[in-house]
Amino acid sequence: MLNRLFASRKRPFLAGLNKPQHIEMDISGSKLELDVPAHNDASLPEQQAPLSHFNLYTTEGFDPDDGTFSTALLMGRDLDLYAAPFGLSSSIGFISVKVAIDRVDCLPEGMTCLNPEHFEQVVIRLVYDMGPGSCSGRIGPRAWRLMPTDHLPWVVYEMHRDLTGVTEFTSHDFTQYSSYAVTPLDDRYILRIMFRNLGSPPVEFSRRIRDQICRSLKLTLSADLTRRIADVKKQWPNAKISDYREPEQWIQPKWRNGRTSEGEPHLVILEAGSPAPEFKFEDKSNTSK
Amino acid sequence: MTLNSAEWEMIVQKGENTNINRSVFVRKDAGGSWKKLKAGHAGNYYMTTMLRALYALAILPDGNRRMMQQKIFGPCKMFYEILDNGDVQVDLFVVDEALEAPKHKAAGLYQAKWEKRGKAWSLPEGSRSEASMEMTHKWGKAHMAAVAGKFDNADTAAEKLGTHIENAWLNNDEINDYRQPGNHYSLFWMNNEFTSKDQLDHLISLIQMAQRKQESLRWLVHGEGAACFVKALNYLNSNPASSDIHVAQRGLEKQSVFFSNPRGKTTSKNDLEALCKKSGLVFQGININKRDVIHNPDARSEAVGELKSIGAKLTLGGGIGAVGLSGAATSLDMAFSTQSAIAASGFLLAGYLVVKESFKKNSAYARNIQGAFAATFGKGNEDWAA
Repeated sequence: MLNRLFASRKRPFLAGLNKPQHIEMDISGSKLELDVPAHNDASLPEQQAPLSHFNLYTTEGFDPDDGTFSTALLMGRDLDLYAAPFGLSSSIGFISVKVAIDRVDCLPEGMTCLNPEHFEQVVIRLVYDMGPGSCSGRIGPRAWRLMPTDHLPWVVYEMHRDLTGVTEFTSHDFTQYSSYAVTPLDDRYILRIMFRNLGSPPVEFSRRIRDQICRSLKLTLSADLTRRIADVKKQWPNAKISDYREPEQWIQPKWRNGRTSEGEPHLVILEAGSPAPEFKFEDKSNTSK
Repeated sequence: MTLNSAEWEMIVQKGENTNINRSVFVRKDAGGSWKKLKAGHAGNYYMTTMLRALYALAILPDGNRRMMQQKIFGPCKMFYEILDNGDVQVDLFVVDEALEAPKHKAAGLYQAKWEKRGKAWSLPEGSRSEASMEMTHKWGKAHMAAVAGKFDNADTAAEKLGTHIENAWLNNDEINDYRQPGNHYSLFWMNNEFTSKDQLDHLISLIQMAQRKQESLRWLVHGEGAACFVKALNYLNSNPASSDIHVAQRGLEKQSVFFSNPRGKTTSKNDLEALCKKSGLVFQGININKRDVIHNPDARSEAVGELKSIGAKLTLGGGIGAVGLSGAATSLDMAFSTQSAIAASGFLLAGYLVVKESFKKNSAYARNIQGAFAATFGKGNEDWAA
């Protein structure tokens, strides 16, 4: 209660931060666990209550089917932040925490997300897809780092507004960014935890919340997946993911909303941006015999 | 001094409505275009905006005479002189959409889109405000529009209100049908200036545009935005487009409203329901956050255990202050319909229309008015392509 009373824009109050909910999900035999504060927007239910079970190998829940990635949402809730006691003020913003699975439809034959090098390319392709590829105006990966793990790599990175050519910033350009924690889940599947910061949560605060939740992440692999990882490791024993990466230097497309009533597409590209990065790999399937 | 009628043409005549206290003149060669626009503006947002700009000059308060002055009205910038007899002469009329394009997400109408990977409703970076809604973009049978209450910024509003819309308007099994790339809803963002006359006028014009086009529209009116929406409906009620209520409200029955956590005066369920009924809109429903005791009359009365809260007692008031709500200068419809008289002298205005070269290709104004206009401003100036 004292935290709430003395909340400020610099030190916002987030209900349940010290007593997060423990969430467990069974994803086709692998178990994901994480601790997240409860959804706290009283005016809305959570976007997606955590699913206790999810079958990777169904098409249900995945969309859209456009040949790049197809995404399913396993959980989505908002952590609203207050700088004053409830009722006296609206929230100063929120951190939306989501758990999603991406099916990598654009992955070429012969590549697998379980190979760390290939996985890194998949992540970069996804960063493109959520940046210039979707006219979001955002760029990444920023603050790329690997979380210590035993088996599969977990990479954490941020995406921010691309400020190239922008001369006047607003404070929102810094407080509004997204963080992602991503790990492979099978040959063509990756698991992605999203932290989307909107409004004015102080950057140090939103990073602290993200890191706290990331520290609680635990993925127990299924027997099938463990075997498959061992196979891939044999095939590519030296494959590694980068410890460090700079943000990509992509050019953002210029666009405007289309006038659909006049037959235009919903987005009209005025000036094309950088093309999507291409996957590169050596086909070792023949040489490994 | 009066104008030479061989060179100047009157587009707005003093006394054509009791509010019109100055005649407005444009250059003769632009006169035909302005007359066409005046006759055919109904149902066209761009033409209406321009005509309103011209009418704004017809109801100017008294000012310096014989001096070039400038007035900015939405995307229109007008250079004019008030003549000795009070008439207005328009020397130059510029449509410059940059005037409406703020650097940051200021108040305006935006398209909030579904972000397929982020699984969220959002305003993409680089979103610019739109002049009008894409009414033919429908969620099922109707276009979807949200009037935002208080949020930290437009991005926050876009994401939250998408979920409010889903909760208010969709069944659970329908939600994924609309969470699709390419789907959007219109977001009316007031930048937390809920008492701004500009915002109110804009909202009124959006309601009227949809009415004129007889388009189906579903509103999600949120929080403090409800107070502005109430004012807009009160305005429409006190300034009907026709004295026949059935004519005045024709088309409004295609607009339905859901109120989500309304805040402000006269935003209790009963008040809102009554107001929608009176205005001819369909009251779809209301969702009240029980914890919102300070701002919502119903939540408050429930909490306090009173039958009628103070807020609920402040009834609609039958048009009180509607004239004051929206400046006469900014509302063409009001200029045509109200009876409150202001008498003054005449005017002149000459009209020239200039479109900046950079906007020619993408300007909605250019595309909408092309043909109706063939204005010239001498050599070296841009005119409408015929």
